[in-house]
Amino acid sequence: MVGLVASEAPAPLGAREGSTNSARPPPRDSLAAVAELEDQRRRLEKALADLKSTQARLLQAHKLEAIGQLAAGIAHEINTPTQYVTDNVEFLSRAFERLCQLVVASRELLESAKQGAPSSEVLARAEASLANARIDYILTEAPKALQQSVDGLHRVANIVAAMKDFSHPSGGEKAPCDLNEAIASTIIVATNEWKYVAEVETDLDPTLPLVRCLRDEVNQVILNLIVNGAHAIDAVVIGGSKGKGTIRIETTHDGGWAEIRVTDTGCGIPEKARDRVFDPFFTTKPVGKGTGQGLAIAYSVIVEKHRGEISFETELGRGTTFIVRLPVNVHEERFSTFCAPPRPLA
Amino acid sequence: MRVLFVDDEPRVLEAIQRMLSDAAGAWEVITATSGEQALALLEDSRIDVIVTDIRMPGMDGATLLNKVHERWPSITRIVLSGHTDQEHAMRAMGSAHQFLSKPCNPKRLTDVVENAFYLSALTPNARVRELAAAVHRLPAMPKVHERILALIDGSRASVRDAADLVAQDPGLCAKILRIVNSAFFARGQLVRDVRTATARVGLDLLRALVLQERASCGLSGARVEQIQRDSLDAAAVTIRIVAPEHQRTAFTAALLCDVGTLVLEQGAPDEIAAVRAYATEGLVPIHVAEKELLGSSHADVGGYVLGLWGVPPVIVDAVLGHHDLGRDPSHLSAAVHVAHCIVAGDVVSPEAARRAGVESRLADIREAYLEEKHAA
Ligand SMILES: Nc1ncnc2c1ncn2[C@@H]1O[C@H](COP(=O)(O)OP(=O)(O)OP(=O)(O)O)[C@@H](O)[C@H]1O
Ligand SMILES: [Mg+2]
Repeated sequence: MVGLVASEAPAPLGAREGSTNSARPPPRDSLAAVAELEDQRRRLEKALADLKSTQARLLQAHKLEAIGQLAAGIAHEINTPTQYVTDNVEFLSRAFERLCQLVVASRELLESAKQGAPSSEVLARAEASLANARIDYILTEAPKALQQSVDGLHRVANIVAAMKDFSHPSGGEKAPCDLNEAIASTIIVATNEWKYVAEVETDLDPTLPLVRCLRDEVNQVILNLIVNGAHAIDAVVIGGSKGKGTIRIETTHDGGWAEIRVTDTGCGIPEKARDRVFDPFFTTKPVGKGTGQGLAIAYSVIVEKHRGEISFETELGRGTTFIVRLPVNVHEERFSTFCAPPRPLA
Repeated sequence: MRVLFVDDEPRVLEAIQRMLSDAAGAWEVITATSGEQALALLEDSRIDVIVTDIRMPGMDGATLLNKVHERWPSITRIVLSGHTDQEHAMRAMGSAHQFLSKPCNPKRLTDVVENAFYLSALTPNARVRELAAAVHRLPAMPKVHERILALIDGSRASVRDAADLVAQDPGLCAKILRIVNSAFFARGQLVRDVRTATARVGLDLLRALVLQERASCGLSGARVEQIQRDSLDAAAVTIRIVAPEHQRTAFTAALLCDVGTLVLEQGAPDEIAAVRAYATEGLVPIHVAEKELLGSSHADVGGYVLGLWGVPPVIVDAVLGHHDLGRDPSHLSAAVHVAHCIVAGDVVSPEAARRAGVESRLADIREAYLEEKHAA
């Protein structure tokens, strides 16, 4: 960022200082001074604009990175049910084949029984296909195989729907949004990020009004908070080898504000880091696990773009709660009665 | 035969059990929902093949396989993972023989496990089997590696040139084939030739592989270089024997034929020295001496290792059969056999020449090879 701003003012540092110094003592020409001031103002403006666009680019880059990581996690979440559905269907189709043979043999048996005593050959065939069908195994396993296949397909459908929901672009336009739904989708999309270290609990206020916001960006904030919570828990439970922690997500509303609380049972934020967590690029995580942009982006989205608030409460060794408050646009409040009940979590 | 499946999602295990219930007579399927549970089961019972997920709470699959590799090296180690990213694949590759991706179709899964059974049945000598199964790195070829690195880092890197260098190192060659044929890279068709494999792998990954090999540089020296040169010569001769459409596969098979010798040199240097002495004194062919003293020949060991690594069956069969024409009736193993005989200066039996389809051309091929050799 610094590099970018500096590159817009190519003059070396010494030269710039020199020119400022020469401008300060009695202005030889007030017009020249005004021109210089104007010039400086323009430069500042440009720097500010650059800063903004850099920030936007960073947001975009972080988003892309997050999406890349999410995509791998989502692929895993989809591949697992696909694996067991495939195996179950294979089992079912073989079972069906054997049942068909059994039906054919039974029919034959019935026919010859009608015509008198069935021949020993017909009996032997029927008996063989009955033995071959391993009917008892099919009777106990087929219903489970069917049920699990149906569940597996639901799981895939759920993930795909959540993904669509999560990534739907807002195009920079604020629109009324059901935060409960946004949270439910984000939790599903992020499953692979938390499931090895934590259980996720939700307590979502069904009377939460719609909130006018940039839905995709708010989704990303929720995602960042969940991932941070999972990482903080991971530091305590070490990859799940010491049991799992809990991430609890609540929504409430009061006055003109909707509130989201994301609580983890992780390591907590050490005292000396507390002032810095929202700083861009402040991270305590190893390379590859964190870039220190998650909370900086959250701050920018919530505070700057939505005039909301973001804060946290933390206790070392107990955990952390991040609190996001968004103003509910009064105009939208009347829609709240149409607000859909929160979707149950899969 | 006993297979242990490990996955943190119980439904995956249940479904695999159902899917394999037809084969229940031949295999015994055992399951565990965590790495810890798997290790406990391994303590108590004999397992032939382990198939594990990678990412699990607690002990992950890569750690589990490392432990299995240390304690029970003769168990065939297979990964079945839903992760599609390269990093995971590479990490697991170190201690796994094969890498399968979820969703893996039932036929492929059964084939891979059955192949492991088939291979262990081929190599009756438990000591050799253990040796081969324990190997996950072949002796390094430092010189070739330096050249590959220089090529890739230079300004004129091309897949074609890189492939030609890769072809000079049977170990690296085997590794790359194993990688492109792992589910992670494979797109349907099996890859059998070095050039396609190198193109698939790409220069970046190739570089990483070479660095990895180099870092763990094992055995080197004159003997290893001799094996390498002979294999490459035989590969070149094989090309003259087979029809154009089989050339790439035949080249690769000939190149990998003596991978078993490298494994033996690396894992049992004293025994292999005794074998050599015995062969020279008794005037018996090396592979016969190996069979007599070790119970298995380098062809068995090589075929076994390559098979474990998921190298395509045509190549494995050709490697297995390159000293024993009764074993693999294919034209390919005959061609490889003939090429090796020519390079070693051995007599080619009329039967072998007939099977390789070179009866009339044998003298010419031998001549051409000798001429080239003298020229070089
Ligand atoms: N829930 C939490 N519990 C404990 N520490 C936290 C929590 N959330 C954030 N932190 C601390 O604040 C730092 C900054 O968080 P931030 O989300 O901005 O970046 P990051 O998580 O390190 O990287 P990324 O850009 O991938 O999000 C973290 O490195 C961590 O030290
Ligand atoms: Mg973060």
